Amino acid sequence: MNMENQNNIEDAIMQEINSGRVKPRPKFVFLAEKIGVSGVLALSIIIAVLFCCLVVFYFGASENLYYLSFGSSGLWAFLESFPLLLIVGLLLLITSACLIIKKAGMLYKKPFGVVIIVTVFSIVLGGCALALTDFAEKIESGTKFLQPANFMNRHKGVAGKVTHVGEQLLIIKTPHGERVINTSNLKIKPQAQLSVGVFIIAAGSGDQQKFDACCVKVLGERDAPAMMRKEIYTQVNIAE
Amino acid sequence: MAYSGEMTDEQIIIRVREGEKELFGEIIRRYKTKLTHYLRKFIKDNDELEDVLQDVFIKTYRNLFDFEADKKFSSWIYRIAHNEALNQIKKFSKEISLDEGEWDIMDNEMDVNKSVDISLARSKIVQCLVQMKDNYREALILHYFEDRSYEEISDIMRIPQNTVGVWISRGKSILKTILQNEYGKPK
Repeated sequence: MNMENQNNIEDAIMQEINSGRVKPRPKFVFLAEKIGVSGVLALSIIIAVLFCCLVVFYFGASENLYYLSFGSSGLWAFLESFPLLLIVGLLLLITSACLIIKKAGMLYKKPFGVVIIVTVFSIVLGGCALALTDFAEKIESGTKFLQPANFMNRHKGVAGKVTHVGEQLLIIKTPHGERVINTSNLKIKPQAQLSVGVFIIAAGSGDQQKFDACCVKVLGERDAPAMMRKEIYTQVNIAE
Repeated sequence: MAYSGEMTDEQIIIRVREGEKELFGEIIRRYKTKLTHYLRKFIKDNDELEDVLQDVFIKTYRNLFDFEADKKFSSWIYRIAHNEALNQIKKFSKEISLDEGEWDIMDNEMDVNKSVDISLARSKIVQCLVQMKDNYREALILHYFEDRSYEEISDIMRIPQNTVGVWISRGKSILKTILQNEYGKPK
């Protein structure tokens, strides 16, 4: 392209500008764009923190992690009530937050790997800190739809308070009513005496009425998961 | 009032934003040659180049309020040119243009460990740069042809400064390997 063409370009552009056909986009458009992008980013991070808080809360307050102590027998019970939806949601939110940062050219001076690590770390830290408060409990009691599938109504695991001890059977009170547990096929004997009033957790298989346990663990009342304890006591109080 | 030739780019932009749109002509005068030179590395066809250059200036004018006056204007306008060039390449899925004349200024800085004869290097590098990945090629072009600093390249390509350094250094060694594979080791 020669000098003449360059001058033509200058003239053509200045003509467009002077005629008003080409105008600068108003300042508020850019401001709105920036606010929009920052808002979506902030929202993704806030929801991710909430989801993370709920995941931490469910693991802490439910008996889910106890099933892992049964080894392979408890693995299915653990997976059955694994908060998959929350974790998938959390991962999607983290991904979208990182993508927004990348696409919007924010923090491009920092290596993207560092940005990802800092984002994930901040979300997890925020979620854990929030889980220490009673915030998650309030959300959980208000919105059950965020609960993991089969939560407290598993087929591979059961937990509750013993109300009757019989010959090779137990009756326990669970948040979903009473359940009969067949203890004749126990592979691992419970480490403590099974008696009325103790909390137990069992892995095996069964349905709403009957449950064939392959391992049973006695939990001290203090060790019993907070959510289960709360649900059972609520039911007992209502019944009384 | 300062003569527009004495004003910095950033000062001119502030004035244009305030309504002195004629001053934008000064920006065009200052950058048309530089940007033509830069875009020439991607677009060979003169008419296409002219269109893209015009689009770059029009986009610059349209987005004037997006420019942060505390930053360097040259990096910002090069960023727009960079995006336009990439769009053009994607749009037509063309191989980039490498006009030999444009490589005349391939400077001595681009010393691929003295392994190639400088007098032959120019035409050979022309052939080899096309074979490189976009990121390495662009970093090399911006640094050695457009004389941009690492910080400016970081702003133009939106990558960390360390990555600019890595890409330039890796680009040089890739270029050296390609040159050796294509033309053999120099005696």
